[in-house]
Amino acid sequence: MSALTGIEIGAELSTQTFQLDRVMLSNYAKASGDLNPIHLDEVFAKSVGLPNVIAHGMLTMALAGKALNTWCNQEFNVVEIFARFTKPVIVEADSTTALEVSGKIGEITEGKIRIDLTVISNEQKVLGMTRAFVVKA
Amino acid sequence: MVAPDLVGRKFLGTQTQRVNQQDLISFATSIGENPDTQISQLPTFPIRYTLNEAERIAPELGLDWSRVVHGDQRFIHYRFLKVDEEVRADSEIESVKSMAGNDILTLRSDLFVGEELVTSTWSTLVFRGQQ
Repeated sequence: MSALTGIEIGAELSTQTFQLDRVMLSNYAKASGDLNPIHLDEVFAKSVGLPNVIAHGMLTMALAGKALNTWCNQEFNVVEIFARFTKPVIVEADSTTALEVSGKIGEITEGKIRIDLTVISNEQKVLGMTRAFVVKA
Repeated sequence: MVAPDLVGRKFLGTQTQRVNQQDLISFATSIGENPDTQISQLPTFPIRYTLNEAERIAPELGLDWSRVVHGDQRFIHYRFLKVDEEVRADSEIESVKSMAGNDILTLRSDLFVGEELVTSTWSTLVFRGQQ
């Protein structure tokens, strides 16, 4: 059953943790068509002043979408999603970076549920104002 | 610097892109989802059809795509795309700002299948000025 069935305003959804690594960044780059080298090439990323390779903001947002998909459990669909890219997610070579996605019910209007998401990596919010609207599938 | 009179300028998609099964599988599996995940379960998947439009438009505005940083992103799905549909992106510049030497552009891209509007997307793109 979907975690959203019969849910009320203010309810919290179980936190989901995802692991990002360079392989995921490379696969996401090919899948999305965003081949910007700041997501793929450490030497390039450092040459433009970044501490290391950073994940695509859109990859972080896609993982927020994955958390929504789990909560929806095919009984609800995401009809709207917004995110602001506030902090980069740094992904070092040969290691993983954890991303935690949690959600809270912000509003329920005529069957449309607003979920406010908190997306954290390295104890910092990496997405801001992240919210989604879901409806029964 | 980008001229503010670009607001309202439209870029009609010149060609359609086919939503193919392999692209869907690649997108789903890249984020650890099952290969049989449906488009309705991947709310950000249509970025595949809008970001390349933004990349095509940028040079026409005198903007350097290699200096772009994504500011924010919104998707509204009126329905979900289906595999094998031919999708066209029509885009419009909704706002232009210059702040601290950066050009900040909000681009709306509407994805159409035929005459039917399926998904609207808004991308705020920050073009960093030369340091």
